[in-house]
Amino acid sequence: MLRLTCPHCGPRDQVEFNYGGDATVAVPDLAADEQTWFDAVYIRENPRGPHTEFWQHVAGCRQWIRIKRNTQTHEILAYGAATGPMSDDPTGNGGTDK
Amino acid sequence: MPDTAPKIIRRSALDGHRHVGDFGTIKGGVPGIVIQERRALSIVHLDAWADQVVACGKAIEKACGTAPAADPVKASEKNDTTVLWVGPNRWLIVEPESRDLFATLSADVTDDLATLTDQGHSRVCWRITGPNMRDLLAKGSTIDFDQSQFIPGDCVGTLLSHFTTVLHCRGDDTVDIYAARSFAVDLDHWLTSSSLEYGLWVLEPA
Ligand SMILES: [Zn+2]
Repeated sequence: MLRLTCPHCGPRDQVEFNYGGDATVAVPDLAADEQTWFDAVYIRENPRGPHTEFWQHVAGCRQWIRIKRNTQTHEILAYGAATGPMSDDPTGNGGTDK
Repeated sequence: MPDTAPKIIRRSALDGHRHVGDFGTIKGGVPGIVIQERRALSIVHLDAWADQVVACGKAIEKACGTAPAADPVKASEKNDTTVLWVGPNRWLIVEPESRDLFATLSADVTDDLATLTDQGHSRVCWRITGPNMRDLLAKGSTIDFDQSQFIPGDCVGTLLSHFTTVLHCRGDDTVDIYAARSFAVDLDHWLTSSSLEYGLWVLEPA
C-alpha cells in the first residue's frame, strides 16, 4: 500500500487514486509524423528509481496530479498538481527526472 | 382529457428501506451511534472558472451569507447554509429545502464566474452522532479520524466502505455523510450493520 500526497487534499492511501502513467512524456505537435506519435502514445520505459507519474485522486478531489516515486523502493519523493510546480521544484519547470 | 402532466414527487432513495428504531447492543440506555437521514436538501454543485475564484467567492457570500472556506478540505457554514469544499475551485452548497437555492445562486453566481449544477436529487445525507462516531468511520475508511486530526469544519472527500463520499465533521461526535443516491441503500446497510456493536438508534428523517 502506497501513501500518496495529493497537493489539494494531503496524504491519502493508494486506494483513493487511479494510476495515470508516465507524466514525463511530452505530447507531440499535431503535425508530427506517425512514428513520433506512436512513440509518444505507446512506447514507455520501465524505469528503476525516481519516476514522475500521473495519478488521479478519483475518490477525493477528482484532480489529476503528479507523484515522483522511486519505483524500486516506493518512496514518495515529490508531488504536485498536473501542471506547474512540484513540491521539490518550486520553479515549476518539472520533469527533470525520468 | 386525462391530466398527463408529470407529477414530480420528492422521494428519498431510502424510502421503503429505512428501519427506524433501536438496534444492537445499547448499553445503559445510551446508543453509541445515532443515525438520521437529512432531507430534503437543496444541493448545488458550483465549479468556478480558475480566474474567477475570488469574484465567485464574493457572489456565493452575497447569495448565501457565507463565502467558501479559505482553505481546501474545509467547509463554511452560516445559519442553515453549508458550503462544502469538494475540490480546487469546486463546492457543494447545501441547504434544507426552502427557497429555490439554484435560482437564488444563479442570480449572483453568473455564467462568467462559474457553472452551477442542481444536485438536490442526486445525493443522500446521513447525520451520524454519538460517542462511537469515529470508531464507525474508521471501520470503512483510511482517513485518520482522531479528534486531533478530523476536526469540526473539516470536509473530506474519501472512500467509506468503498463508496465515494464527502464527510463533513460537524462536532466532536457528529459527522454528515454525503453519498450518491444510487449507493444509498447499500451504504445505509453498511452504516447500520457496522453500528450494531455500539448500540444504534435510527431516527425518523429530519
Ligand atoms: Zn485530492
